[in-house]
Amino acid sequence: MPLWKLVLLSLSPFVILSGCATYAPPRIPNAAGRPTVYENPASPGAVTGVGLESQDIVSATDRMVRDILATPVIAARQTPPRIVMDSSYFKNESSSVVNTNLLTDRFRTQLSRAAGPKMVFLARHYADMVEKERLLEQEGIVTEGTQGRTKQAYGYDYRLGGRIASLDAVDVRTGLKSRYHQITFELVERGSGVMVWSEMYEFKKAAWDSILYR
Amino acid sequence: MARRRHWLCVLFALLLAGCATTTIDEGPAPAVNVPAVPPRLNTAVIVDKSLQNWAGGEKDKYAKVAVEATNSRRTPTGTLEVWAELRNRTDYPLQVEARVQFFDADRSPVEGPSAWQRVFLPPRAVETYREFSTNVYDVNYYYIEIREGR
Repeated sequence: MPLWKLVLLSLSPFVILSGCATYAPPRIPNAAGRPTVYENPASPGAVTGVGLESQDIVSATDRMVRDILATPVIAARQTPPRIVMDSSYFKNESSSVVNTNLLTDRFRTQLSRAAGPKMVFLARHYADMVEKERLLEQEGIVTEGTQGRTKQAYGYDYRLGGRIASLDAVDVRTGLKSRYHQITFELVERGSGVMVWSEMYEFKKAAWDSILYR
Repeated sequence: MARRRHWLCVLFALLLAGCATTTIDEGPAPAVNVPAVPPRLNTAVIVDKSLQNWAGGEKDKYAKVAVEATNSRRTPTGTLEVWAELRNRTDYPLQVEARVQFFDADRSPVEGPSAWQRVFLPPRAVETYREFSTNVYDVNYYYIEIREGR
């Protein structure tokens, strides 16, 4: 057999197999992405201090939602309970500047979405809106809605109360500041005043930088 | 001579077959799917390389935190409670954050991931991360992710 034929025959398996490209995932350009002004509210951002921040609000309300849904007294009732969940009785007694509606609004919206038909939420913070429309209907200025006329607004079974408290400490030599937060959420039964659910979220932070909270 | 030219053409064609490529030089490209590393459900994983690294040689591998056990059970209301026991393998206090994602029987995500919850691990100590689902009957699997606390 001529030499060139011998070379061709011996090399041909390799060149054929080289066409059977094996899958190798594309290489990973291991570098940070493009800078953006958007930050994840569930994680600390570029500006962090010892105060109550977005990640604390997200974590606290998330834990409360999950805990309430695992509480049989509230989540396993035969008749869905009526709950008022707003900031009327949720006080900020801490040294952190925070709008308490951030906590109660997030808690209410997340819980109402997750609970579905198992709980009924009453919008007492919109009571004046409801009452104004009722008066217009009674005076004949507007018609009933598609669900007919309701005689009166519903009373609630449970109402949210709670508070945010804090404890501060400062090292005057170094300027290191620490703050402990304790956020308490409670559901109180109407009439009896029994506290049917209570949960607390606490954390402590220490930092040197002075951050201005608004 | 003609037969030699014929065999040379065959050889040339075989050589070119080895130059097959699927590179797309322009336009949108399909997303990468790495079938060898799908998320393993009903487990806890560590996503931070600062806590655990399995790449490289034996001397490059390390793990500061061990996941001793992970399991789940139903609560009286039907939600799924999951937990992971974490052990700090170092002589230093560690802060980790954990979150969980829940999936249904078809391995489809049923709710968004839970918020990151912080777990403090004293030196050489064991702590438990525990979380509940919000869904009741659609939850069959969970996937716990652990990262270093920020």
